[in-house]
Amino acid sequence: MTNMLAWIPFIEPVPHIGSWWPLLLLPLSFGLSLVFRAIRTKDLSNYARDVTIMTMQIILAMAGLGIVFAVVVQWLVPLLPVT
Amino acid sequence: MTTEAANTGQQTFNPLAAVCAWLIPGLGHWISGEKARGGLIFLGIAFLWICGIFIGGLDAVDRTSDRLWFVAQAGSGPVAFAVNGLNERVIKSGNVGELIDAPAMRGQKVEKISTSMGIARANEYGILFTALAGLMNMIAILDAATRNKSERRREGEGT
Repeated sequence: MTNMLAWIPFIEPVPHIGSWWPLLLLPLSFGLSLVFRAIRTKDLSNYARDVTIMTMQIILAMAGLGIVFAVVVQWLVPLLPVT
Repeated sequence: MTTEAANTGQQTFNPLAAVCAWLIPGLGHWISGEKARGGLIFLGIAFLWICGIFIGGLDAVDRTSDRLWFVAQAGSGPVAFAVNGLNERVIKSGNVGELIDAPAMRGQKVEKISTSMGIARANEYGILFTALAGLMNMIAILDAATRNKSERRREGEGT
């Protein structure tokens, strides 16, 4: 907490990011969707809907990949025979 | 674009739109008449940059230490060079934070680093956000440069 008082936003990096860094996927996927849908959406009246859908698709895909890798590392790899 | 190319919807390259899109994200679409689309592209790129600098600080853009990442960041245009210049003047020069000796192997020259430089996750994510902004702007540049007039007209009818 005392480190936060000395932090200068936009000049120094955010302190104590260690535990919550996976949440940064949310603004990252939202930002990517904002730009990509601005380029690709034909009718801009659907823009907000398309951005929401693409953001959810990225988050779900990354969460799915995370679950698959967790299963491989936590359960399947320990089952391999040790020579 | 020739009249024939415009009528047939054939793609041609528009260098002015490409240069404008690099200088200011979204400007390439803006000067082609797609003002709303250009504005949305600008907002998206600006969002990624603001998040990246907020998370990683000015050290998220470093032309000497993170050269390959800088190539991607430079896709966003002059803003990448401006932030790199600020990083050198504010962080690397020691105007903010303190300059300390960096750990060095025996026999190597000891370099000074700032206590305000980004490390670990904050630095990685700051770089990632800004590099992705640059790569997305490269897609926008290609789109602005190759979008044909008939396509624009069709989209204009829909909005």
